[in-house]
Amino acid sequence: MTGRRPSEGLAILLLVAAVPLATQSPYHLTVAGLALIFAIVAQGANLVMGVAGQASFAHSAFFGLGAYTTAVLSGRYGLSLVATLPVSLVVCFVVGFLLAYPALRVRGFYLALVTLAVSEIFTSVISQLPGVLGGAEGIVDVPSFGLGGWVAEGRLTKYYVIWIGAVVASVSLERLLASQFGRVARGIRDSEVGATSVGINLTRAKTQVFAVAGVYMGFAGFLYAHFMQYVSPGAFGLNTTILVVSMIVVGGMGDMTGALVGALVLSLLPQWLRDYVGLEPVFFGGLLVLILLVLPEGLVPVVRRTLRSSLGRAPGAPGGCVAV
Amino acid sequence: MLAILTVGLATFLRGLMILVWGHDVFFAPPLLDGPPLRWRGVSIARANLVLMAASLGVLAVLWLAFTRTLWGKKILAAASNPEAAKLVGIEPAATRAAVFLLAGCLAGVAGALVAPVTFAYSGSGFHFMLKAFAAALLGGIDRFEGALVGGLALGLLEGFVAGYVTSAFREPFVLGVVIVALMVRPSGLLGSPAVRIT
Amino acid sequence: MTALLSVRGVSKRFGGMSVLTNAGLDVHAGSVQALIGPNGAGKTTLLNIVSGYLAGDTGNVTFRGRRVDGWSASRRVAAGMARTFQLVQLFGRMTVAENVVCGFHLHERHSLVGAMLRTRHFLAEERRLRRAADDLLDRLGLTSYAETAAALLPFGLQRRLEVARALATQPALLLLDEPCAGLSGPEVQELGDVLRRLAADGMGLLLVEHHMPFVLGLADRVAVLDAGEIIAEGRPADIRTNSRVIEAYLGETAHAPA
Repeated sequence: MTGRRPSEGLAILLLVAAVPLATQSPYHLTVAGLALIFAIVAQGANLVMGVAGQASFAHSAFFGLGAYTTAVLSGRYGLSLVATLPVSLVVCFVVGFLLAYPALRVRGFYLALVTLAVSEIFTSVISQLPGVLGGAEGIVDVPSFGLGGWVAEGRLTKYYVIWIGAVVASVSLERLLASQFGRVARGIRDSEVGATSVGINLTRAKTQVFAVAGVYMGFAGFLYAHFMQYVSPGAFGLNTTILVVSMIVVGGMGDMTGALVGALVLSLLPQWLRDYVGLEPVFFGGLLVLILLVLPEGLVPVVRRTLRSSLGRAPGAPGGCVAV
Repeated sequence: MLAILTVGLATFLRGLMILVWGHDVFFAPPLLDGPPLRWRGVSIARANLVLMAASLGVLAVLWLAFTRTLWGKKILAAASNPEAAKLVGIEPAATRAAVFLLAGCLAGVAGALVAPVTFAYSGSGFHFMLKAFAAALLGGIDRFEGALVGGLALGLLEGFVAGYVTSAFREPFVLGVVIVALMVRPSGLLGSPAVRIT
Repeated sequence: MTALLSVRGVSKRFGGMSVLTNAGLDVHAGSVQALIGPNGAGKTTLLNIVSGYLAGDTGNVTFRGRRVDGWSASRRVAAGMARTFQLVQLFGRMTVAENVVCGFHLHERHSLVGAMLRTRHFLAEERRLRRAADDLLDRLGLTSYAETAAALLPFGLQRRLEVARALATQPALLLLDEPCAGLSGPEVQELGDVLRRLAADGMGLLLVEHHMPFVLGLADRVAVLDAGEIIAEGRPADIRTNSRVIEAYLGETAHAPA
């Protein structure tokens, strides 16, 4: 744990930055951009589920909240992104903060249900309100990224905006976890009683974790809205939550690099399934079950350990908490 | 972990259903033909009578099975203290498997009973599951009567909300009420509150 | 001299069962107060009430001159009351060093922004914490295990780690719930040395323990709890010969007084 640990996330993202060198087709760039967006969602969700151990299944609601807030404000009311970004983030922060209160009252399976219900409420409300929120059809005239006079035209530019967002999100989250914030999150996961015994206030801790995670997932939603320039309720339902959970589990729950890798892998793999339309639920469900039974730790921790021992170094505790 | 595993299984099964039946919506014929029964100005569809009778019947059988038979008591024992159960010759893994099987069958029966009243498609499972869990938690998950009370409460609440508050938003509204109820009383209406100590 | 901790008239019922009846004791700074009694006497319950994990039905707890009834457990920690548990409550997936660093939670100054930007202040603070943790690990003989995951430690070391983490909170009062359980002879000896030094440095200790020789050799005063009531309180030598105490333990396989 001593010595500056290089950012694993940054290393992987640098590789992903090279994608446009291989292909400039709009379709491939869209897939890659979505993969990066989901990487941010997965990392935010990982903070709540994997690092802090809270059984929250409301991920798609935060994702959708961030997306819809900016879509409505910029698409319907013409506000500039300089305004809609902070608003989206604040909205998600507040909702996250509030969602922590159920987490203080109920745990595990019960909390899973409550958060699922919250997610359902969100999707229902969004679909039922035509007019401003676009109803079931969604909002179609969301502007692209723009700052001052400049507007991002073309998939390539938008892809790099997303990439910058992913880097900022990934590195900042990694650093947060290597600090007191990360210790508190892992503390409430490993032992709530133990956490209390070192003076951690559970209410403050959980509200912090949920709020911060909400902000990251909402940020991903913001990026999604302006990347796709279209939002609809269908993208933010249970399927998306399950997809995100699969990404975390496959990559390695609790491990930020795992969430990143899981998101990239599960976003890109279905491309090979494109020929077998309709196979997605079977594939994702099956993969989730398989990983949990065979490799419950997830891909990244196992790969990291193998690499470490083959390079002759003793395996350290991943996701180090003390940044020295 | 187990929760996520079952989510994965459910997704896998749903995927299989999509492969077999696609995304089509199906309608099943009603359980009982004939005009609705009238009693003192209230009209009750025959099919609903079947549903009510079936629910009560299942509840009665479950209650008898778990309180009066050795089989049921073994399951409760293993749930309460797996180690102690092993010491008296009960295998918790077997009881867990039995319960899973039973729960699955009950869910299937419920689905079959409900299909004529609403419609059926590959995603209908989640929708009902959410309400079913909400009903079970609202009533109190450690007692059978809890599910019954919770279901009734939920159904009545939804009806009232649809009639007097808002029809389009009745489901989010009811879910919201359930969330608040669980926060106020996490153990549900009939459940026994847990004591919080170390 | 006013007591560091003062417990008066604490009663607690669980359903129909009365677990504590009018229990009370004092702990003074720089001294070791032991709480002994047969199994089921209510010792851990009393400890839970004092440390804030359980609310008593009646009675009050005064710590450092202030009434702490109704205070949350974490607030009491902030006031200087630390404890260990009968079943260790470690952060199993963190390393030994990280567990102790967590103990400094209330004594570190951080900002989220500082962490994200890796400011010099942030890095200096992390280094300071790590050094302080290493210091504590050294005092408790855990240095060679610093990078081991806490869950992988042998039982005796886990208990010691919990003490180290409790000490990191810089308490004025340390409550220990059966710290000797599962420890070997030499480990018990070492623990006794550590606790003796802590008391000598001014900390108040409340020790719940079954291990008689340990208690009798370490404690300045001993309170005896039986069926929820304090039946005796005094110096170790007096408690050993107290007839009521002996009667309470009759039939127990307690260590015979040496």
